[in-house]
Amino acid sequence: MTYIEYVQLSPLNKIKFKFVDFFKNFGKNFVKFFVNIYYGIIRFFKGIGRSFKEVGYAFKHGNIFTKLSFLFLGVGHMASGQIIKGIMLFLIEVLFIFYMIMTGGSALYGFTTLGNLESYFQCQYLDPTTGNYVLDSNNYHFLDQASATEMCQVLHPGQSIQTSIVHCDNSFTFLLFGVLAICIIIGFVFYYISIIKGTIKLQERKEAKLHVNSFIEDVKDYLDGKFHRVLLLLPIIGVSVFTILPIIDMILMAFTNYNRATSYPRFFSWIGIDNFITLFGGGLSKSGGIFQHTFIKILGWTIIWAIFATFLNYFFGMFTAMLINKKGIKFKKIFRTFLVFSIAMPQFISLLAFNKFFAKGGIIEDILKTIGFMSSSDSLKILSETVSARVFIIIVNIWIGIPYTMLAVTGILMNVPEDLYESAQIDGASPLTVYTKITLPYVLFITGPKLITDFVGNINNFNVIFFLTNGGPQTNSYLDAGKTDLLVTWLYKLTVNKMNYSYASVIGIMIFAICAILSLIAYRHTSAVKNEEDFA
Amino acid sequence: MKLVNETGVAVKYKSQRKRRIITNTFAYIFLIALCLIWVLPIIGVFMTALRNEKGVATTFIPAKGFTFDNFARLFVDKNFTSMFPYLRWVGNTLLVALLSMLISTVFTISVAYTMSRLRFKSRKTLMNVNLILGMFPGFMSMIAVYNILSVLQLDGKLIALVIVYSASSGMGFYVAKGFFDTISKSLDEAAKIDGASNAKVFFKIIFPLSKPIIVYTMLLSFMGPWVDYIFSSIILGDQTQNYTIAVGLYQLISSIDREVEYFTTFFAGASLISIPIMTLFLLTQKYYVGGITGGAVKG
Repeated sequence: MTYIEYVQLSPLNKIKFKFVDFFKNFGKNFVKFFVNIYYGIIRFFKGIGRSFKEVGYAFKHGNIFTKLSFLFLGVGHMASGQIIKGIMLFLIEVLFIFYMIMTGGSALYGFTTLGNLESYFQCQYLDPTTGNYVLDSNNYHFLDQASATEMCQVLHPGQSIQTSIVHCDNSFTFLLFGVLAICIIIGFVFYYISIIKGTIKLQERKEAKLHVNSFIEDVKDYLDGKFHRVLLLLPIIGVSVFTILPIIDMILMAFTNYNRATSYPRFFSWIGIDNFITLFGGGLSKSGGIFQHTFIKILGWTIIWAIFATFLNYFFGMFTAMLINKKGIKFKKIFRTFLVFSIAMPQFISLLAFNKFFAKGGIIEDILKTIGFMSSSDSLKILSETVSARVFIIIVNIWIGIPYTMLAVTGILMNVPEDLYESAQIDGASPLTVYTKITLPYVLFITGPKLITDFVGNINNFNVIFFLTNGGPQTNSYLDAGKTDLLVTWLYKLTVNKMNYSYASVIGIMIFAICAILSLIAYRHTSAVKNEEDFA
Repeated sequence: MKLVNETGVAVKYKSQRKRRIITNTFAYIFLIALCLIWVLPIIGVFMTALRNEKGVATTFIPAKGFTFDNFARLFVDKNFTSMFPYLRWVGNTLLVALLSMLISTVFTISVAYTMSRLRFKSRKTLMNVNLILGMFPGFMSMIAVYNILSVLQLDGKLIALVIVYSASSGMGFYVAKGFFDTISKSLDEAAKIDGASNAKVFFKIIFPLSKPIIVYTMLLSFMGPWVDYIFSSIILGDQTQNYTIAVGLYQLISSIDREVEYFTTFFAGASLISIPIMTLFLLTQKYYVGGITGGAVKG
């Protein structure tokens, strides 16, 4: 089908075409995605190769100052008259070398081992004058408790002694500083290459007797041609330190045994892909079997939840929006305001209120008993049974979610060209026809991508589960999770309550994989819509 | 609607009107029922706040009537405020909200403007990287963030919260970028022909035009700290004095014993903060609507 043919289709057929087209091409797009990654990697290495070529060119054709710049960055700039810039470039190099000597080198080594010493023991003896235990003045370190006790008895014969444990290597710090060092080294290499390239360019300008920017002109350029660097500097630093660095750390944690609840959990080491083998290969050990079992069950419920939460909210929200925007309905603003209450109220309050009202002995139980729906000896079990708790969550989520869809759809409904409705009315179309032929296709067409982003959002919907049920009802057949836990809330419990960071990281990576695939679909879909706009 | 002379069409029109009246009646009934359902839980919150007896288990109509004691307790009762400094929590949250609002707005607006109006080599790459980063669940890196903050010796401090809320705010630039995309490019071009630099175009031309999106961004980032529980609870740990309102209030019902004692006080405290937040939200709703529909249309 050509684009012209496509544009001539009726809105409903357009959607049908898109829908069929999407599933028909799903496999193709999936493969295309990986092919694109492959090409991206190739391009990346080609870029590196080109950079080296340019650096080689600079070395071959550079004058003595440019060649000196290979050792002392900025010499070339100084020779070409950019004194201040040259000094600054050189200072950055000095800083880097200083960093590598002081901490960078040892951080890199620490990254490979994640620390050597978990803890050591010290000898303490009872000081008869104060009645407190005092550290032995020799301050020996012992690797195990037995030798510490033995030595202590030799040092303080006849005295009452005890040993104390000292934790030393915090593996997380090793991991963090290791990753930081690697990032800094990579950053410096890029910096180095770009400066060398700049130096040879500057030399050529100078030789061709072209204008060389003064320092003030350079600074001024940061307000014009390089203004994007000024605007992006702080946001990028923020994202790098508080998003990218933590994500890299957490991904790496999936390859460690950072999950021991006993002794000193902050000491861990690399174990390769064992955690993934436990997840996919399953029951090598008892706990591994539970891990896999829990993952599959929770993944299933997460997807069911996301489907229900997304589509129910979407269609009910659209329905409500259309009712409110119906011709002849008055007080539109009041209705809208009432519904928006559930967005305006902080979620942790409204959700906790739902939790308390529907709990055993809460207000709802009392109402049901007063009306006679429940005998007075019973108690409300909505939150303690798996199925009812799950239905309850989905229903409360409708309460939270409808207004969002309503607001979005209201905005779109106001943009439906009015003449479409008028001509339909003149042609004598029934309201149902108007709805199915004009309104629905129009809204669906625009909000289609929103469905997928909502779906991803619901997979990661933490608040609703955490405050409404906190994952409950609890079960022993799951690994540290309840029957209504989603992958994200399970991840939260594993990290915060159980300190099982390595398993949590594995789950996080799996969530990422799921969301990435879905977002990819959404992205493709939106880009198609955008292209169409370009065409029109 | 034009007047139609043919009798057939006129009759059809009349019956259409009749049908509209019937459907509208049903629509009204449905909408009113919906409004009731939407408001009841909120009324429930306020009613619990005014209740005279303690504890979760209770009757629908309060047995002992209503009282304002729960509200008074938050501020006056010395035993209570020494354990749960409500006023201080409100102050903490306000401080964090204001600071992170300032930083987030600057970050978000500058990233959005850059991505929308300026053209440079790594623009596409940066946007793709941002897309990929956004797919990692935020909770995944939470512990690593906490560890980084404790290496910087900031854990348990309010400044750490400001950092957490605003450091990565540049990533959420999509809505604002959508707004900047709609401002005509010819404005920039005209200014540039007159010799204005990129910075001048931004501060003198685009910035004054962007009031709606700035208000929207500020509103969103200001609300964040008031309603967030998870991040603040992890970062603040057991520093009761530094708690934000959400973490602090949650303490009131964190165990069964406390729930019995402070259940109604919790709702009093919760109503007190939700009234200003709700009012703020309802007043600035139009910006918000513009934001989400803009987001929906742009995907």
